[in-house]
Amino acid sequence: MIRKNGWGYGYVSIALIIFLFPIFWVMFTSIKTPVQAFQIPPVWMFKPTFENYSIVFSKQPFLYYFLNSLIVTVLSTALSLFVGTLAGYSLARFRIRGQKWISFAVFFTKMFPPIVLVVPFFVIFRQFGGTDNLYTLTLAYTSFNLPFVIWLMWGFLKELPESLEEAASIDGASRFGAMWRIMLPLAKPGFAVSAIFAAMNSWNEFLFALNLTGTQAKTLPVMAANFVTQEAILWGPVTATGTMLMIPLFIFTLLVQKHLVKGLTMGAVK
Amino acid sequence: MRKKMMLGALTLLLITVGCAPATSQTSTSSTTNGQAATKGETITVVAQSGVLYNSLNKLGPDFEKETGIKVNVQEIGRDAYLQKVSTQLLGKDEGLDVALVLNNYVGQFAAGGQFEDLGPFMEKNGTNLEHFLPASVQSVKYKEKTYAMPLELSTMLLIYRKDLIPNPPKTWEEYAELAEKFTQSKNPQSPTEFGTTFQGKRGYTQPKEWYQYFWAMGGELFDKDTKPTLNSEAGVKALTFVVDNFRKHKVVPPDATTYEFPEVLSAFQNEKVAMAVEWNAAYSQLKDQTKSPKVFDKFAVTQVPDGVSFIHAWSIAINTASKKKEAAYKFISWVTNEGAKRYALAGGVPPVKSVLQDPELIKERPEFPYIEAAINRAKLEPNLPEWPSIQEMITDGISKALAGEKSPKDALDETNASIHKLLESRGYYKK
Amino acid sequence: MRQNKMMPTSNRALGKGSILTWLDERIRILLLMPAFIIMVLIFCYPVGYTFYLSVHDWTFFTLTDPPFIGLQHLLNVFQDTSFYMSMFRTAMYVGVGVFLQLFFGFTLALAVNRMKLGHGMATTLLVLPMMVTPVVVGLMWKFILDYNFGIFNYILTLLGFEKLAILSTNSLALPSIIMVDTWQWTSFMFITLLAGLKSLPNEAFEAAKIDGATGWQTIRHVTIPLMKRVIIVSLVLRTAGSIKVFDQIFVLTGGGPGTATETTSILLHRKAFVDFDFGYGSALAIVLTVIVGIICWFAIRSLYSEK
Repeated sequence: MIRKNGWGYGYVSIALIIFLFPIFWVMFTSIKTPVQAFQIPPVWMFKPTFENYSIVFSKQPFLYYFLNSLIVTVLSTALSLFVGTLAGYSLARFRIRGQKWISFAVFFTKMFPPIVLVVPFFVIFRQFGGTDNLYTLTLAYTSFNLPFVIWLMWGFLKELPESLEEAASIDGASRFGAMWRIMLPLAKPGFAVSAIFAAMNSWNEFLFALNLTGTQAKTLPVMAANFVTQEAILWGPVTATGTMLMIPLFIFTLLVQKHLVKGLTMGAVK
Repeated sequence: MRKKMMLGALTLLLITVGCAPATSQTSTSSTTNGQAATKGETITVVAQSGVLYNSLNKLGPDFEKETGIKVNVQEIGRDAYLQKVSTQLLGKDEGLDVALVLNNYVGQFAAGGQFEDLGPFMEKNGTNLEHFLPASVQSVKYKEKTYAMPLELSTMLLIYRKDLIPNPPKTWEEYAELAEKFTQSKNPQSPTEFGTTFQGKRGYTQPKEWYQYFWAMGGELFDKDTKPTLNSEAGVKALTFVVDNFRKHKVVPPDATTYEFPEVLSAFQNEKVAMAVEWNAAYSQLKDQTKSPKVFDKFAVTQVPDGVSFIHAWSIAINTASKKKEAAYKFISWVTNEGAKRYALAGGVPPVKSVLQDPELIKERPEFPYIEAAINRAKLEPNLPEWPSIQEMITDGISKALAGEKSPKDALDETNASIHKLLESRGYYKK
Repeated sequence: MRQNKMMPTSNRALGKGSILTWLDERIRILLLMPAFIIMVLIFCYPVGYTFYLSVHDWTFFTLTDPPFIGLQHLLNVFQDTSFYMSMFRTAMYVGVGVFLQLFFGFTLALAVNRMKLGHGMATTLLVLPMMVTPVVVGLMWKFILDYNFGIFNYILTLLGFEKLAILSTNSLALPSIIMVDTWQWTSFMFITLLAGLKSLPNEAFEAAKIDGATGWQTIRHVTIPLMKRVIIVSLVLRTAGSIKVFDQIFVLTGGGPGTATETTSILLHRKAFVDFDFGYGSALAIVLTVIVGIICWFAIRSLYSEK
């Protein structure tokens, strides 16, 4: 048993090195000077510099785009969670014809290659309220977060015991009351899972952000791609932006990680 | 069921709205507004990040000082640029006033009605295109009408090691001889491993280098009826020349089929090759000691052998859907004329005679005379709206020949036939 | 069926005539409405538009009035060798990639599930790759795999190998983008499968132990059958995600060298935004979606038949 666990620890350690090294390398490169960044063999000991970060901050309105990213992520996550939970509850609690079809529709929307949707999306948003604003982007993100959230919450709420709700109903509480007081607190881990995936997708999305925004609603991933210039890839600013894109999500993951596994365990993937 | 039908009707309605033709009325209404109306307006320009964005962005405040029109330059990274601009143009985005594209896309966007015909504006403002180099003017025309202004020019030059090659090759034959001389497998005393290189990566650069062999050996892409003539004797000769250098004589690095601008540059910077046909943008990289510590003082440039260079130009055009066409026109004509010198100082290469000959500028940019000389005999790709597809077929043929999958003749026969088929299907050869 | 029992109970409790009853009777639809409206508004129009484009000859000359050409584009797709090649590459990309992710994800989940020390820490750290922005993932690996200054080639030389121009060598480019996808998404497989493992009933394992089953036998005969459902769901989700991957491949290789990494979504991009043949691109999108749809349909059917 001990020997077997030893193997397990070894395996996990190797996996950790492979998983984390590229991330570390990006962060590490971001605090090197351009000359150090390209040196082979690589330099391991040097005086860290924040030159690349100051380039990012001076050349681009970083904080503004950061805020854009944050607002869109929060709004879209909240909206998908709210609407998705309602729908997921309905699917989990009532017999609705064609459940199989609904789950198929969810997968269908997840599979449809987004690249062909770009032009129609652009046209539709231009006609109803204009592009280059955060609400448009929020709505667009909600469209691809929603199916997944519905599906996760559906699976999760199905696993919660119905008897609790029935008991509440018999006590005279309306269905809304039962939903609000009994089900929601129990559904917390499910929310955590949905929130992580919705936030992750919104924060990292590139294609729609690229096409639906101009200068006003631009988000960080689009800004990162700006450092790939006609002549060369500016690796310093690219790694600095990459680092700043990763860190908020990592922190968020650390905060909700406990609920993530719990939520998934309690049925979100079933 | 009824719901489904409603949905269908809604979709149809939306589709028709989405495909509604661009109204031509907007253009007339904005032109009648007169001069003063443009003051205080803000126009939006979209440019690829790098030299185009940097120099246009630098020029913005100057332009505002002179005209009172604010310029908002949007920056898009290289990979995503074309896709983003096309989406905005095809989606009839009113928020986009000025767009930049390579000249071989001008025909397409002109045919599709995304680019405004500049004729009326030029007439009204009394501007002409005489200050441009003639070849660049030809590059922005489609069916005899001007749809854009040439802004930034690129051509290819021969870069070579002046410490090794005192007399650069004048013809492709001399080039081939020198290439053998500086290839170690042919000549063990050679200081460089390979004599030369080729931008062999499948894509749009590869045919552009090849045209210079093709044209110099007497080839033409099309005859006067727009029938493709790539598989002419000259075409086969030019492709055989390139393929033999790579496969038979091996005077080109074996991984040249992955080379484009940066790879060729790095091969030269690292003293791997003695010469190369390379974009003019390499010049500033090569003379920079920090970027090219090994060769910055050992290189020289000249025209490509036989002197028929390829050029293309980033061209600046007005979006038909724009609401501020007058202001947009002012900007594109200013930046390619009055502002051209400042544009060159900011790092660009404007196709403007007086700027390329400006002695003050030549001190800063010693490569300008070579660029100008190259352009005088340079040729460009035709402005066919189908060009992007055709280009794909040509690079396919060259790649197959380089890979040895097909003989140069077979590859070009196949390419020629597919181009012919495409153009025929688009109604080119109807009587 | 369970749900049916519930409806009368709650109705009786509320009494007739109140607005709440009215709401309550329609609640299943009301709750679905917001989601339905959003999806119809935002998703159906573009998808409908795609269908519309796929039966019209939409080029730069025919923007305002594209002629109807019926199924011509679809026929062209099926006659196009580059389509079959791209499907083959996509199948390799998805098949090999998702299989590797499943394998590593599952083994890691098993290993971490047994860990007493550092369990939470390992879980958190192993999830990180899937959080990284795809564009950044593409650029990051481009930097690492670079021929001249990439750390990967440096490690190769340290180990005494020749340097490799990985992303520009025909035979290595596809494996390398599969590797990048595996790097990023093994995390996802790991976390879902770990959750699945944790939800398994203990009794089965105790029974296996009493029967004297070895570790491997337990995994084969107890764990995997119990996990079947979670595995199918994760596989479907990853397949759906992997089939449309665009950002990373586009940034890393752009479909090259030659067409060595031209998966169907890269081909789609080329047809739509390089050749500007949106009609053909739309037809291609539909074919792709239908093929994947069929695969997912079978997967979902097997999920429902399990119950």
